[in-house]
This record gives sequence, structure tokens and C-alpha cells, in this order.
Amino acid sequence: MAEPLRTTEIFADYHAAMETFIDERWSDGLPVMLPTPDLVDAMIAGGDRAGDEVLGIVSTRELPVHVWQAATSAVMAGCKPSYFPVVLATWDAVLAPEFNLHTVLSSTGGPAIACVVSGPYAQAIGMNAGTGLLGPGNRANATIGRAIRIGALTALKAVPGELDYGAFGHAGKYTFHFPEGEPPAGWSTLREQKGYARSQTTVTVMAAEGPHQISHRWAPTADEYLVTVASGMRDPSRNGTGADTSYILALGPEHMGLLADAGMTPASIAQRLSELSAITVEDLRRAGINHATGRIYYGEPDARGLLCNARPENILVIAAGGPGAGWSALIPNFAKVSVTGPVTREVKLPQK
Amino acid sequence: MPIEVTLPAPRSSAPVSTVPTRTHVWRKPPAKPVMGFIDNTKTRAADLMNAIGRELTRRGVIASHFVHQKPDAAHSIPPDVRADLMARGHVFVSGIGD
Repeated sequence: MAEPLRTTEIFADYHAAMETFIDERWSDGLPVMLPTPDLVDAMIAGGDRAGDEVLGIVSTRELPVHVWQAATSAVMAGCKPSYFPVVLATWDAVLAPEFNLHTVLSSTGGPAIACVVSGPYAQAIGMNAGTGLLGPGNRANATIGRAIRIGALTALKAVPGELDYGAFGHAGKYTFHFPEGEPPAGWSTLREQKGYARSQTTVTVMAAEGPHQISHRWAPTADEYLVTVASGMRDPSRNGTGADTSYILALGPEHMGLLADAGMTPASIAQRLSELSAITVEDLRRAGINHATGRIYYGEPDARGLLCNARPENILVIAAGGPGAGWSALIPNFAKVSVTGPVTREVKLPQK
Repeated sequence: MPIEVTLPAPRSSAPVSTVPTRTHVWRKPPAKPVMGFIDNTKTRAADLMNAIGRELTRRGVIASHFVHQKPDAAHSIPPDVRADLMARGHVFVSGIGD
């Protein structure tokens, strides 16, 4: 494997450099912060690893990601050095074999990399968990996710039409990082559900379709609201529906309060949604899908005639988003979890 | 004003290394090779591949063909399966899309 060398080039001026970066397809189509050597060094210093360390190697394409490459793309995205521990943790997560990054970056299904940042460090670097959760306007939310995409474009050659054959893609492929908000009393955080301490900070990544905004503004009971969410999960037109997939459900304050007041927790919410979202072969047929043709993908229904949409452990429930009339966000995995599943890693801070 | 910038990747104009990244075992195929097809489980992929294989055999281009079905489309063939396939065939067709 040819090791990518960290090199520099002197351009006539800022404009010439910027145009080269765009022409070389090192950008997501938007202008970038030029990665001067001092900025790259400062970014590396914001993390806990040496610049020449290999974060991982993407199988099949056999390409490595070095810390200096992650730092270069983080500078280009507009990150501050204090964001770099979250960038590194995200690379740790997406480079895990179970995430299947080669497929995520190349599939015609065109998923983005959604990432929930759970823990106190998200607040420390100024991430926004409230109004405008999914954008625009917050530098940390916007640039950390963008750093991963630019790294994929440059270090991993995930250029549309070259190694990225996403037929459509979506706006989340520009950036799709957001933090978990403060849950109500008695609720565990996502990081605690994944086995980490409340004092730690984690990232949880998932190969995602675009977010689906859940509307329920009509004074529902807790179960009525969950039936509404499940109706969104049961949409057969999505690639993962009925195929043992995963979801992130970001509960807006009104819906979170409704469920918490009813005595529900993230675990019981996930359990109930798993039950409510199962579909039948007849559901697929009514949506124009012949189960027999897609049998290898969907698998066989269980003894009750149901196809599992998502198991409870793959429905990730978080509190996030701003107040309003009653909104939440359902973010589906673009495929089944045997293709790519959610992965959680710790954010490690540099030892000062 | 000139500016020095770290390159995030080699320039597209940079020469490409000709050093092989894998250790290849090159074999000269026979005049009528055995052809293997990699079925990635997409709908009717095997039907298409078998039809192509039968036609190439009828035309005398290949000696015979076989189809290997992967468990799913999302994972590459592991090394042990690849070795087995290479022991069974001489040329392979893979990368079938949707």
C-alpha cells in the first residue's frame, strides 16, 4: 500500500489555491479554509495522537486515514482545534469494521454519516442541541461533520461518480453532526445506554437517509404519539423498512415531555416502537413491493407474519431539538444493520 | 501574496505509482477458460449471469461457467472465498450493479 505523504505546495495567492482545491475535487463544492501547515499542526495538537498515526484502513479500497489527513480536512472544514477530539472519535467509529465504511461511501443508496455527540464535551465546544439542531448556523455542528466528509473525499477518494456512486445523496452528506440534549430526570443518556459513564463523551455514527420531521401537534397520548412515529418508520418506500434496520429518534421538547410524563424511558420507548413498527408482507404488497422478489433482502416473516423493522437496541432515542408546536426528527438507517449498524466510540481528550 | 498549503491528497497530475499494492499471482488462462460470476444478490442477477455464461459457452469463448452468490451486496469477498474461487476459475466478472 502506497503511504500518502504529507506535502505542501506554494500557490501564487489565496485565490489560486482555493480554485485548485475546488478543481481537484478536494472540496464538497463549497469554499474551504486553506490548510496552511501551521493550521494543520495546531489542529493535530488539539487531539491526542501524533500526525503520522494511522487511524484505520478502509478495506477493499485499501486506503488509510492518517491523523494528519484528518487534521487537514478538519482545517478545510473550518473546525477549531478544540473540535478535533470529536473529529478523531468520529473517524474511530466510522473506521470500525461493523460500520462498513467502504460500502457507506460507495453505495448507490447514497447515505450520509449521521453522528450523535453525547456528553459534556459537546457543550464545552459550543455544539447546539436546541433550536436549529440540524442546521444551519452553529460552527461546531456544521464543521465537525463537514471534516469527515472532506476527509472521505480526499483521503478515501469518495468523489461522486468516481468511488461514490450515491444516486441522489442528500444534504446530510455535507454535514450531519449534532449533540444530544439534556434528557429529563430519570432518563439515561445515549452514552450511558452504550455502556459509558455520564461524565464521558461519545460519538455514535449511523449511515443515514435524510431526517424525516415527525409532526404531532394534536394533544396525543404517549402511545398515540408513538403510533405516529411508528407510521413513519413503517414507510415501505424506504430501503431499510422491514429489513432489521436502525433509527435515531430525536425527541423535541414537547414530545419528550409527553413521554416522560407518561413514565416512559428511552428503553421503553424503543421497545414500544419496535413492536409498533413491524410490518407484514401484505404491507409491502400494498406499497407495490413483491416480497418474493426481495426475499433475500427482507428475510422471512416470523411466526406472527411480521417482518422486523428494527430491534429495540437499534432504535436510538435522544432528547434534542428546539421547542415548537410539537416536532421530532426520525433519522433512518439507509439499509439493514447487517450492511452497516450504529457504532459508538469515546471522545478522548489530549493530556495537557 | 504566495501561500503555502498542505495538500490533502496527491494532485491529479501527479504520477501514479506502478508498484503493485498486492502480491499478484498471474496465471495465463487456457484458450477456453472457466468463467466465474459474482452474484451480489441483486434481483435476477443470477439469471443474467447464467444466460451470459451459457451463451459464451455456446460460442466457444469459455469452457464453462459458474456463479458464486455472496451473502449480501454490501461486503467484499473474504480472502478464503477468493482463494477458493481462483482455484475453480480463470476469469471473473464482478461489480454487478443494481
